[in-house]
Amino acid sequence: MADFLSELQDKLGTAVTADPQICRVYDHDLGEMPAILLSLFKRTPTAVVLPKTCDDVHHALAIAYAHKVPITPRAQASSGYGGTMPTKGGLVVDLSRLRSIVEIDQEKLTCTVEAGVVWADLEAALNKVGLALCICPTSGPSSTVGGLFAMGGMGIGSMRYGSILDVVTKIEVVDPDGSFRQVEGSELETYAFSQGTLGIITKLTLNVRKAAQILPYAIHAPNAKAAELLMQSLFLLNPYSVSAVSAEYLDMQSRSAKHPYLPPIESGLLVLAVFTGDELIPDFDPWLNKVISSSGCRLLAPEVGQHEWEARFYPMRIKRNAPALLVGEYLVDLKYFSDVFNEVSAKLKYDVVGFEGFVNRERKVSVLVYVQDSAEDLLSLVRMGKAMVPLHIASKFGGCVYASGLWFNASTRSILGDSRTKRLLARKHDLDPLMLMNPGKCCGHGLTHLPFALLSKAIWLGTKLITPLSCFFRAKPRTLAPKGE
Amino acid sequence: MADLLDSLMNLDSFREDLKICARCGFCKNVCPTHKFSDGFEDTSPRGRLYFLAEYVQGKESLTPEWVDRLYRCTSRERCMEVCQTQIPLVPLWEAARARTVKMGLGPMPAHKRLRDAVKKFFNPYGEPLEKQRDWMLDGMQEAKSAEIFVFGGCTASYRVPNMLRTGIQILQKANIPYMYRGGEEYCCASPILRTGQVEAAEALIKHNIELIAQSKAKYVVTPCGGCSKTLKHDYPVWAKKLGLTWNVKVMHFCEIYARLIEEGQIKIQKEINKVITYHDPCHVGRAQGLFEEPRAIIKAIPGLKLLEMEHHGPDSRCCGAGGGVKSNYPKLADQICQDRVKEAMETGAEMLATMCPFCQGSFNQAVKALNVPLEVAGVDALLLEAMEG
Repeated sequence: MADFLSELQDKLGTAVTADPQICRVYDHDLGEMPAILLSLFKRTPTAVVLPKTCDDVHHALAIAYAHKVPITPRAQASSGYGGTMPTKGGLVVDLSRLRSIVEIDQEKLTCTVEAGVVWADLEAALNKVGLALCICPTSGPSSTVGGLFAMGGMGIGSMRYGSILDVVTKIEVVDPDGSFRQVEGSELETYAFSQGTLGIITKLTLNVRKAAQILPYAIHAPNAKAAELLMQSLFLLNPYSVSAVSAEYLDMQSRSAKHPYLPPIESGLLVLAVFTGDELIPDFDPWLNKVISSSGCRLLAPEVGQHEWEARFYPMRIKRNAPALLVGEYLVDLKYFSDVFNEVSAKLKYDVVGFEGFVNRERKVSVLVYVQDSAEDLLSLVRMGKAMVPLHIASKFGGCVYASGLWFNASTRSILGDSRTKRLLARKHDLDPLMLMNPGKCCGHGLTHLPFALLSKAIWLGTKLITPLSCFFRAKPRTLAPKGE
Repeated sequence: MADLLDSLMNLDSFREDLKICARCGFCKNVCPTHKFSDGFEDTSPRGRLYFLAEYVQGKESLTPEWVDRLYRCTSRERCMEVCQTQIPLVPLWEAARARTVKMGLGPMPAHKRLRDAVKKFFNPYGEPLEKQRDWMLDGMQEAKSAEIFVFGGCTASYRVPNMLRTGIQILQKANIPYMYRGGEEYCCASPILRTGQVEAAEALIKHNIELIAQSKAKYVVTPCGGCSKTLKHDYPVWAKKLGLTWNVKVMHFCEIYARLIEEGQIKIQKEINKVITYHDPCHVGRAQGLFEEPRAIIKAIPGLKLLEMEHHGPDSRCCGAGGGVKSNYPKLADQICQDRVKEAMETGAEMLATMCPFCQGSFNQAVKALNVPLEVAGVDALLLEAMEG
């Protein structure tokens, strides 16, 4: 390891650190997990490199791979699936300084960016020339373009433009041995959601759209079935984005705001349908009213829609009033939205703080379920089972986990499908036979002490077993008043 | 129960806040010192929060390196604005700094020098008190008794007097009497409090509270962002702790000007044909919510054209000087300031106007270092010029 470090430092100078105090800050991502689970991994890296150019990435990988050092790519670590958490120590490649916007092509409506470009920064740059992002995750003020492509996912705008894979047209990747590779066309599928297990993405070209007026409409659905019907019907109107939140979630949001306000609904769900001024269908207003009334829903005041649109990047605000919070997440066909919603609500009626869902153009909905609890005490592992309940229920309806990361790495096949998974594994075998790239993610166990066990399978089975028991253990709800007012 | 002051400056009282960090990193992307650091996660607000959360649980120790990182914050407060869970980050850093001081690990060397100067001379510049009135022009005469008490502040009194001088000229032109106790005024304690040196702040604050109370003024007005923030937010808490009365209304000069314009007490005589951009000082804008007042003044002056910078209002960037950064990390402060000047240049404006002498002083240096054709002035100077006809 000493040889590796000195070679890396000789090549990249102050862009490399092995300071244990700094390395310690790289041992986690957004997720909070019980200490006992975290103790299974060597999650503190030995060194961190902060490339400032794509060539720096090339040098870092070439040196690390030659020394057989495990490599964990990381951008802003704004996901909670453990995807950017080291499992075998080694080298973390922090891509947050690769943030140049290389080119914006106003005619072709594309842009090329380095992997560490933050979505909000890209949106600001595009807006200056009359363009806008096709999709943007709700973590947009900090998350990166490369991060979303590597972790997989969708965002605001996915109703019209699909997932990140549908938006990106080309990527530049540094292979584990340090060589550069351009990937486009059907091969992109292999790299999307591969979480840096095949190499490190350094540049991406993606489609953008012409900026247009945003028209957000807030609609009250009396129950999940009505919300489901409404979201299905909204496809007729070519919306840009459609999302839904439960009244409980809105109540928590309104109480957690800097300036608390009355929530816009008392029960049911609020569906936010967002349209763009440039793609409104003819006779839009009558059609919208028809869709809303035929679903048994009701249009809310324009300012509610505007408020919800402006709050789109702040889903975690509720943590102020629910400091001890677990999050369950699943992806399910829209046609089963209400079935899963109702079953989860019934099963966790004392624990659920709220639901938040986003619809994509494949008529699937990704749902976040906020569950009151914490990962702090000895019983946390038992109570954590509750956070898995939504996923267990969704799986009965053909649903799956939203992303795999570390904690759900055994679910890779359910997310990618057989064909893509097969291609991913074959490519992994070719490029990284030593399994050094982001060990424990997508494929491989990542466990130091239990090399035969696949962690996520253990989590799945374990939580299945303990879920009935977990319902006897409720966390004491805690609240925290706004400070500094 | 610990009193309010202990609670505000006690790191342990932030335990719950440390737990609710969503780790989203929104703060990291807006932090000016992180932008100009080596870029590793430990220099971001999110990294510092993670460390402090571990530290209060006894899992980490306060090393000299972490102490240094805790001092690399300009108190810009933008991190607090974007924080998903509304963690009071700047008060949290100040409490952490206070802990380092208590443990003998902080503050930074330059901050110790500030404290020593303040203890000896009652201002951080080490100037004798008798020089405090040197900025005054002939014909400037304070009243023995008035509703308004002008608090000069150290930077304006000893280093960048324009805004203080202009403020008095405007008050005189509007025939508004004011009290001023130059020669007796102590540092407001902002640089001492912001750097966690709570104990050294007490004597200064006590003196100023008593000085202002004796005057029987209704309003305390100051041109300085740091002074007005401290007098407005910290003094009421300290007065309570010290058992003193503090029933004055604190105002930044821009609040007075905007009010006088609205009430028609300020007569604008001439046009000023200039294209300007306005920098919201962190301690005036985000800390006090004074975004509209400076713009109302600019709007009232015919001929002025305001071109906003990309980051303005609540999203305004920092001049780099606050939080003790300018004194201990001058290179870092310069980088932040020059970045802001470049942003101002991008608007095409010929003048960068602001409303804080500390910001103005930093911008003067940055413009000189960059050698760019950008005038730096206070909004108040433009107002005075427009009043003079």
